[in-house]
Amino acid sequence: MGRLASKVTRRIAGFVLLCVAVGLTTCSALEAVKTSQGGVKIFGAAPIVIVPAPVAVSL
Amino acid sequence: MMDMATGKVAWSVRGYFIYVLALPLLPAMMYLLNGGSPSRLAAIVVSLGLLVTAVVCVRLGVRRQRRRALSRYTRSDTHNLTWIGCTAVAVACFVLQYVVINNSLAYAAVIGALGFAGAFLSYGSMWARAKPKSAHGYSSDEVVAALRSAEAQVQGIEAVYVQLPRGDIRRKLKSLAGKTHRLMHAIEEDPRELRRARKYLNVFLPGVQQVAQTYRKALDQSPDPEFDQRFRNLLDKTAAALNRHEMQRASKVAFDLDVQMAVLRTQLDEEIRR
Repeated sequence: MGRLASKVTRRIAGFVLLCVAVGLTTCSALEAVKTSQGGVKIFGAAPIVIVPAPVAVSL
Repeated sequence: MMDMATGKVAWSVRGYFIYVLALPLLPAMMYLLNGGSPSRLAAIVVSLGLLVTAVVCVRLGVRRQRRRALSRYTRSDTHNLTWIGCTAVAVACFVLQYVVINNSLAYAAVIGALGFAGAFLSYGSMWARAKPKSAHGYSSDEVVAALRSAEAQVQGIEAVYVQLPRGDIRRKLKSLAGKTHRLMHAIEEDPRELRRARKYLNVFLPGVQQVAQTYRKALDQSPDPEFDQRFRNLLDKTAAALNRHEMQRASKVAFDLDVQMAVLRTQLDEEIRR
């Protein structure tokens, strides 16, 4: 049971870190490209971070 | 989770989440293709390639970890491919932060490290199963070494048969890989089997793997029906040797059962006579 809890905690921590590092980076890259091309800032990390956590953790 | 007959691990979706995270790079690439900085475009293409590589490596690594995790003797530690996948995620984050977003080198390195940690926590494995110290005259290290070597050779055979055209030889190689997996499972269940299977694992299996690799090379250069037939015969003989081994194992189980029943019957007869 403890091992399962530890595994789930680890997966959730991994999911959060992946979202923060990769999700924010890719969204920021898109934003940087858009603004430098004269676009409007509409993209944030939100579309990525709101992906339902349970589904994402299973992926 | 794993089909013991074929040694195959069930399909899973793990690793695909990195594709979801990489999605914003596609519109970014489209913007840059319409006229933007070539260095940024190159950085985005490289990062996209790294993230795709990461998904492929992570999925293969996780699959092999799961196969190992089911084994009683082999450790389920993080596979090398998973390490490569995590590193690819880190490098992709670093490149995007440094080249595309123009952040400082240190900040890009920190985000890269966070990406690595996230991928490792999600897809790596930290728990290694405790291995039994010894069993039936074999140390666990001997059993592990034999199983790892056999696993590597079976993977070599699998790598060959997926490249062969569909047909008799491919089917026979696939069947041989499946039977070897069954034998490995039997060794895990009862390490005494290692004594009987040693010749097959140390001599015949490496021989078949080597011949299969050379056969594939020969097939690429000049297909020869005579070689096909000879290789087919060789595979039949190897399968016959494995079948004989399986029959010996089955008859040994029957013998053990017979002895146990005889002992119990004698004890019961004595009890009744008293």
